[in-house]
Amino acid sequence: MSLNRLNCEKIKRKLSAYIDGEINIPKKDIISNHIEKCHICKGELSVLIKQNDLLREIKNIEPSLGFRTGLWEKIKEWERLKQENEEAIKKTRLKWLLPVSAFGVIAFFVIFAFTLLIPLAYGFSSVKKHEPIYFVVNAFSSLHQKNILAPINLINYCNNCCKALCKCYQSKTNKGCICGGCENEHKN
Amino acid sequence: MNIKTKIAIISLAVGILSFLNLFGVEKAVLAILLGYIALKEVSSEQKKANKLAFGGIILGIVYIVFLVTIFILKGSKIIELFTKIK
Amino acid sequence: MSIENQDVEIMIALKGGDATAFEKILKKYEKPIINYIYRFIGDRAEAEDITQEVFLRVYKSKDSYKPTAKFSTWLYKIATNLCIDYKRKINRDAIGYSGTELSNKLKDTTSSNPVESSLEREQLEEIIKISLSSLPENQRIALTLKVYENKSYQEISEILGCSVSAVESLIFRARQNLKEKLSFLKQ
Repeated sequence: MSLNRLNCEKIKRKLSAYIDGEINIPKKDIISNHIEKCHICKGELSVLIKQNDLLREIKNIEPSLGFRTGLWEKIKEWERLKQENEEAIKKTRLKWLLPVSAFGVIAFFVIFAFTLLIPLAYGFSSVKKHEPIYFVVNAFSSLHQKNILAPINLINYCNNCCKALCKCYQSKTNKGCICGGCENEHKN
Repeated sequence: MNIKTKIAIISLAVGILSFLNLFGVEKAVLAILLGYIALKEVSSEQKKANKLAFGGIILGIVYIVFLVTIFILKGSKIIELFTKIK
Repeated sequence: MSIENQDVEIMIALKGGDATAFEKILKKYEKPIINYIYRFIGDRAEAEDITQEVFLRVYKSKDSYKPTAKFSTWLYKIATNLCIDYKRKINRDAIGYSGTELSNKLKDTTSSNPVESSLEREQLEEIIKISLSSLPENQRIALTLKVYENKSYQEISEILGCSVSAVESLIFRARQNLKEKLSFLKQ
């Protein structure tokens, strides 16, 4: 009957887990009962059990006599290298490395934030309504980097900052350029 | 954390940093961090690797010092302007 | 004290610098691990090398060991990963037979008499090893861990990093695959 065949299919799928003892008790009873009645599934089960036993025919191997000594040699080698490394690093006083570089990086970011914020701050406290926008744009546009060498980009950026402040000064006091860079711009 | 994980993290960090452009300081920081991580590893190729790592770290530090120096020199002019506006 | 706690105690002792603790771990797990790896990759000398590497890693991580997982699960995970790496490195199965080669080899080594002499026993082992090595990697790992190391499906799922039902399905399919290959031995 088709219903029995469906059951058999389901049971066959669970037989593997059944012989491994990984089925919970209620399902286990259902399967046990079915196996007693169904000779097909019974045969299937015995094949699986024989296969399992057959697999276990591969004998266990023993580690060779040199195994442990080999292992300890590898461990000693690693310990020696580790010791060597630690000494090499100690010689260079590496523990100063991270604090010093962290300090340098923080100093860089502080100064950078300062230069970025000044034109903005003075942009807002400056003269007319549309002027702040000009200064905000100027502050960020001075970040553009045309040169392939990073330090030169930094120098250009600093010069642009000076120019922005200079323009600010000029618009506030109506005096001439004090940074020395605006004249070049006018000439161009 | 094994070497594979470390290299994967580095790949991710560099990928994220490729969107940034901060006058090269992000590269200097990465060089110092990576050199430091490399120094902590133990391997049979130690001497050569340590030399390379120290090279990267020193270059990173030198560059950061260089940038900060430029900033301080130029910054003095900026502060001068700043005080004049005030 | 349960087995798990014993292992964790030993690891903590090792972390603290107790040298004999490592010997205890070796004594307990040397044979199981070397046999597990041997059944996986089929080469005895390599199995010893890889086993040494496994215990070397255990030793290396003694300082940073955190008892989050069961010790044996962690150990088998290391062994499994090293085996997989080894296989990827040599880029083929340890015994390296394709489908048709496999059936030819099986025909050659089949005898009609039941296994009695040691020579035939060796042949039988060879057949089993070949059949096992022809299984896909995950199926082979799951079946080996179950049949030879007697690990529960839960432990195998932790070692392989998959669900328990995935383990069940892997072992089921492994057995189905083996059924076809070992069917000639049906008596």
